[in-house]
Amino acid sequence: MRKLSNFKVTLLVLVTILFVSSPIHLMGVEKAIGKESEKNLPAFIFSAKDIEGNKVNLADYLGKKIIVVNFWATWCPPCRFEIPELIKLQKVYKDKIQIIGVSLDRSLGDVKNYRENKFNYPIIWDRYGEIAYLYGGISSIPTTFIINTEGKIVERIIGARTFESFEYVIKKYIPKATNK
Amino acid sequence: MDITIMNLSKPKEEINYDDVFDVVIIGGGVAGFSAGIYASRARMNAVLVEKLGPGGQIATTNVVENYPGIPEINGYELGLKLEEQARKHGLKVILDEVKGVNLKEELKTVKLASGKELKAYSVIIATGADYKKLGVPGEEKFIGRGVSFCATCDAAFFKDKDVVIVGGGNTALDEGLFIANFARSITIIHRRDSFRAEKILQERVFANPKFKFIFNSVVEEIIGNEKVEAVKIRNVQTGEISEVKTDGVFVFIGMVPNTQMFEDLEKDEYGYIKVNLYDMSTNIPGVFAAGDCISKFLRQAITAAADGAIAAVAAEKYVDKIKQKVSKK
Repeated sequence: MRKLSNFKVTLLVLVTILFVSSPIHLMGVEKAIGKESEKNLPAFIFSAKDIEGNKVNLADYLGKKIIVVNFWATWCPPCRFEIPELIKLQKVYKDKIQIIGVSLDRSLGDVKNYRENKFNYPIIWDRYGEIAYLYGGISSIPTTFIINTEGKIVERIIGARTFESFEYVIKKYIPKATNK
Repeated sequence: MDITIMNLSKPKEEINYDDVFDVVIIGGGVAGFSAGIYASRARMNAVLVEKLGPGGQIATTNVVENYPGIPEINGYELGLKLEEQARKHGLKVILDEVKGVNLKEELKTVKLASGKELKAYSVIIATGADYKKLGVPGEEKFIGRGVSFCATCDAAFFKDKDVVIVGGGNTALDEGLFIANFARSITIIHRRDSFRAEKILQERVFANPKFKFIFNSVVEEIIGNEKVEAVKIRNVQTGEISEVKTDGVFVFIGMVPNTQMFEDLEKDEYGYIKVNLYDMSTNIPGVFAAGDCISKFLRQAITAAADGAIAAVAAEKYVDKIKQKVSKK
């Protein structure tokens, strides 16, 4: 298992006993992600600093918003095509969802120098691939996880999507009474 | 690479959805934008609809080096340049997804995912094609877990690992050479006894010690637990079954045209739109098609560009006739 440097991970339900070091629990989460039969298992709720140095804590959004974790990289054309769609999604559903971009770029400079779009959601540089590892290992990007208000992974989407496609998915998880 | 060229998400012009356009171009790949360049320069009231970003398939190609006049360019950059060039000549671009069409009437209707509609005298279909899947057990299960269709996107995740490429055409070898920048070894599995890719690409892969080759074989299954661990292959001549251990499988075995929406158009047995190659016209007057979605001999960026240009000029002639007819009434 990789060393988890400067990086706090909390498994929502099992709390501190699973924190950081147990390969068994990491394997458990790998199994949980992406399989229809094993949907609705807890997502890793992490905190990390974004590329601007601001702290991002997924726990802050739990129970309040749907969390959208988007793995991407500046080298990936479909990821770049998708970013304007995610920006629009964050803008339209700002009270209902929180998007977290997780960059798998090789250097922080690559991410910081990316100027095609002005992000309206935080971007974390996953320097050592830790977040990717905790989300089951990422070998295709873009990959996007939808985490419901209970902190459970409800969708794992591989490949670029349009605003309408994302909207269709997230509407399923926005509580009816507050549906846009 | 620091891209600062304009982006489809920031359209520079307002689209008037009450307009009757001369032409609606569906698809923002090489064919679509080439049609857009020619239509705009002909001063047609032209609009192009693209669902994600400019370039289409070419955007995920690491290096394009067979487009005349451009010795070498990244595919994504080429897409952005096509868009820039088309906009410069006045093409309107909409970032939206086409959900339906009515092509039979003289005034065509294109329905968008946003709920809006476009009306036009002519339509150019340039929707391209998507990568074909193997359709074998394990493929769907391992998409995103070792199975990939985009080397530009995913090759970096296979650094110092062993990968398999399935296919024997230009894309398979071209993308393989890109993957070789990362992977420890690449085994190309091809169903025939030789590659159909350009000879220059064959020379490169044969000269690269990272490549191994398994000819006359097809993948029967992708095997693994949580991630890809091996592929089961069958020799098509001997019937022998064997396994090749691998960390990843890149599939480049051809394309499936994005033409399902166009039910009224004549297509070949593979779903490619039949056109008159003289002017890219289809069986419906005022509807033209160009690029990888049509039935033709060679699907390359250069032929897509040519198709787009021909379709745009043909559409211009068609629309002129329609307008003359209307004005005489």
